[in-house]
Amino acid sequence: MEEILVVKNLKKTFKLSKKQQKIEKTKSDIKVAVNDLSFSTYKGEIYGLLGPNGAGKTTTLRIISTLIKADEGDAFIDGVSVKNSPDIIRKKIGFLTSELKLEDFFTPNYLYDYFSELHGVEKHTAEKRKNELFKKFGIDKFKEVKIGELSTGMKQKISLVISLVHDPNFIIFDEPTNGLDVLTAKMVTDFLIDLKNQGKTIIISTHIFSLIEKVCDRVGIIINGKMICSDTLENLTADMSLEDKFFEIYKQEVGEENE
Amino acid sequence: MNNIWTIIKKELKRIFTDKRMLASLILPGVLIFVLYSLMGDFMTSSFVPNENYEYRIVAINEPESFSSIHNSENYNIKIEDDITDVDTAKSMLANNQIELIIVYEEDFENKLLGEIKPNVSIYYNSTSTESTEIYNYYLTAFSVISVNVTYNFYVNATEDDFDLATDEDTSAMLITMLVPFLLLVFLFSGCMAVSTESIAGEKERGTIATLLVTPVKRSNIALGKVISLAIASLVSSLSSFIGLILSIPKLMGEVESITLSMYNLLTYIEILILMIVMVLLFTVVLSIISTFAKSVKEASQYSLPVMVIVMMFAMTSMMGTGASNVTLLYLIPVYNIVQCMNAIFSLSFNVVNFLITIFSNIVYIGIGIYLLTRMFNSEKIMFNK
Ligand SMILES: Nc1ncnc2c1ncn2[C@@H]1O[C@H](COP(=O)(O)OP(=O)(O)O)[C@@H](O)[C@H]1O
Ligand SMILES: [Mg+2]
Repeated sequence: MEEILVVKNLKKTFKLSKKQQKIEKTKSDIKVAVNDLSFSTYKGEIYGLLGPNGAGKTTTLRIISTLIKADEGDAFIDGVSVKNSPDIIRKKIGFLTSELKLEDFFTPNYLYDYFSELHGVEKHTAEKRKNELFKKFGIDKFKEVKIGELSTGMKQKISLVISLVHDPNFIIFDEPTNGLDVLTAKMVTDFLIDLKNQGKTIIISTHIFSLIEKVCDRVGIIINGKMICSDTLENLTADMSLEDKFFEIYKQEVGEENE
Repeated sequence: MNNIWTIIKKELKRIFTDKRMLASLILPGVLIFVLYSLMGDFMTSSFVPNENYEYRIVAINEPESFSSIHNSENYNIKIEDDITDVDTAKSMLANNQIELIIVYEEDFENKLLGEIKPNVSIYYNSTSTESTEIYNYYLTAFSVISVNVTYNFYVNATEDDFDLATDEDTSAMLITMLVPFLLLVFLFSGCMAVSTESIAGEKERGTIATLLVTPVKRSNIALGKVISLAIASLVSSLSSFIGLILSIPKLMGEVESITLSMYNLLTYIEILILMIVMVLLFTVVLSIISTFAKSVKEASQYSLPVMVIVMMFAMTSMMGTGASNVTLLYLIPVYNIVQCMNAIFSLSFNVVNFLITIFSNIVYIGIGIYLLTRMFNSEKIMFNK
């Protein structure tokens, strides 16, 4: 199997403001969000980062997407260093967060063209790809309607499509189904499987077990910024359900720390 | 009822424990107080005689016995003896070369004892603070004489117009007092409306990440933002400008004699250049604030103190004291623009000050843009929690 993403010993600390110290109930003004984190994903699979809130999932995905820089360690996509060549990485990846809210004022058509252009996609190619994607996801009919007037599901579809204007081979989705109703969530999972069938490699983060069970080939369990285990879904769920497995690991981990 | 009280308590707690919220509640009051006190100070200070100022006065047909009226403890008065012609004196007064003309009727002293009371006419120029001041002083002085002494005469009792300010002067004064202030306030609110939304809005909605993962250089994203904002603000400022020029006559509805004839194309070009520079500076500053903020709401709250400072500087144009002559002061942003506008509108344009203003502001804008691009490259600012 061909490794696409290799994450090596990532570490990221944040300085906490006074307000954050209160929220996090800590006296320390430093938060280790990601701690010596390593894992790999393989070509054509969907990898799921599973962990509770505040585990460091978003931070990890942001580092891989070149949005923030790691203090230590590095990640490589197709052998290219995220740290040293962020410009090349940005051409290879598609990135999307669930909290994304496109500007109400614009139409899907306009936004698609805008991001195509920013990604440097050639006009003719962009047009062809837009027609394909819009048709496939039923955006066609609404492409000249302002985002503000569309349903949540349609908005989410447009956000997904827009993160893929440059046809990236490696796709990063942070909490893709967070806060979505069941129908929209189903649409997103179908979309992920569809992308996988096209040969894309995908990494998602979530705290939802069922999403992992439905779409992932490989799972990394992340707690308090540390990668506790990274294995295939099959291996992890050999003798118990994913949920049970997770809590077994979680108890071990958090228990150990309290001692 | 209990629920309502619970809600009220919670809401009040929320408002009064949030420093920023509190600030935005209290600032308008503070603002009004500060502005009005400044205006009040100006009003009183304008009535304190300026001891260093030499008040130049032309007295025509003055009887010997009246010369003591010029002995003032408070004013430094100089009688211009060599001017004896009323018309010459009047044109000098209109041009602010002298402050006052006192014309006694022919044979004044003899007529004082006669049946018909003689006239004394005092001419002044209301666009000059000094002229108005000394005019008031003389009015009082003459009325004191006419009451206490058995002399009997009229002061400014004829149909004549004693205020020799030209329509141009009056207009220039009113425009100088009003326009820079209104213009700056309009420009700032225009810039604020677009700038806060544009960058803080993207951060709030999360679209900033979508933008930052594109291969576009971050400094270019910053530039793209600030330039488009500047253009939008320029358009809005241009419309404010045109609206203002068109509305000046209406703004001063009661003054029929308002005119713009003292200004030429150059005046408008100079003002436009100042406006463009001003808008660019506002845009850059507000963009920096907007980039720093996490939400649109936060951005507008942070912009408020800046607005107060801008308004304070803008107020200096309303003081009616004329543009500052201290060249170094023209390095202070916003203030220098206000002073330059002041100078242009009151027809006392100074090239050196104008150039210093333009170039210093260009430097500030440059520094601001540099800072902004640095901010876009900083993950601490773009992804602050
Ligand atoms: N910009 C930031 N500044 C300070 N602390 C942060 C920042 N981003 C994340 N954190 C902290 O790092 C930890 C991990 O956050 P995150 O990666 O968002 O977790 P997850 O996505 O798994 O919920 C949390 O405690 C969070 O509060
Ligand atoms: Mg997260």
